[in-house]
Amino acid sequence: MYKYLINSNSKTVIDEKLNLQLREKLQKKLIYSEFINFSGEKELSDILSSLKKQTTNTLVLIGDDNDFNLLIGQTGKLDSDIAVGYLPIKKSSLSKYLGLSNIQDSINSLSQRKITEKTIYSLSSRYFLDKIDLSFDENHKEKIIITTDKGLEIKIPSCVVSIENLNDDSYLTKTPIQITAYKIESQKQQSKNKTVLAKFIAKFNTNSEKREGLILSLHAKNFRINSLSKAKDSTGRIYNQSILIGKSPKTIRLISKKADIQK
Amino acid sequence: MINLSKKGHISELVGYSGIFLGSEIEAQGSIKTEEDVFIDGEFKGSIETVGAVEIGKNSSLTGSITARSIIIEGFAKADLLATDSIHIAGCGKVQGSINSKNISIDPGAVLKIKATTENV
Repeated sequence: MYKYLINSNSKTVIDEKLNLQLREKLQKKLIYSEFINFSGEKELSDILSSLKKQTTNTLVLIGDDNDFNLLIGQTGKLDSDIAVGYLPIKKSSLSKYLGLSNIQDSINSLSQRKITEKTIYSLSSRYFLDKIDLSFDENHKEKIIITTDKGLEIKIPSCVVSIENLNDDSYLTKTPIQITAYKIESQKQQSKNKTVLAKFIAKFNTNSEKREGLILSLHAKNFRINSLSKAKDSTGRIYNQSILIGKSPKTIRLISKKADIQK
Repeated sequence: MINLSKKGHISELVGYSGIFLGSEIEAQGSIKTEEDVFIDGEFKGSIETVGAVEIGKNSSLTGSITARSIIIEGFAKADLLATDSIHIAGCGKVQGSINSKNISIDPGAVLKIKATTENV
């Protein structure tokens, strides 16, 4: 049975009209059941824990990437045979990652239930699928210390640290976590220069955020980030001063357009 | 002799998976990789790659580099070994040893080195 999760505090509002449209489309595909609202990570965690005792085999998040990342972050609570689907309300990097170009496309993929198994990574006690951005207090003068599993110790000023799972890239299977750090500059300081370094930085600016000032890029199997200031991710979650990033022993069964395993 | 400076810089060539340590970075330890490495900060330790290494103008490196090619534009107190070539730019300062089949040095470079062009 399919269960649909909606974050009632999401920045992406699902109004009554859209809600009704979604129900109708899902009913047409015979995959409609109930919509479950949750108001935050704690409530989502409780819902997932209670699902174990029920007969849910497919869990679908309706919302945006932040909402989906909340679900991915809690996948440690899920039974390993439950498939996870995503019904993105707007185009996003995750919808692209899963090959879902629009709502109808996503619903078709859900009904076909094509499953791909993905490695997930853990960031302290939280999981992530593709990418997490951590913002450190820029006013904090103490440097952030990043240590790799190979003993490389790097001190960087406070900034935004972006952690990306590159596990799908077979070239990087031994060092699948890409870590990049940027200073956030004001829009005024967004330079239009065409220097070599600017071109290099442009390769990393894959989203629309106002970022400039790449200061670090490397990849490794595991990282630890130590900082005297706390970090915050895009969902607003606060991370303590020592953050361990590494491969999780869990994999996740994701519904996507392109399957690599059978139902 | 090949002048690497005519080929441009690693920061132009390095791909998504390359290693970049910017000018505000302090790092120590070892880097062992198959990618290109661009360092513009302070680094103490060893770098070993089959790719290219560029030590930028703002950098200070102490240790060793083994790579396909090496460009030094900053300060390096190091043993440099390159299977292809080593280029020291005019703003570069190097103390230590350099060992490569092809070595090029721009005017203005400050050197206190033992250079070898054999057995690489």
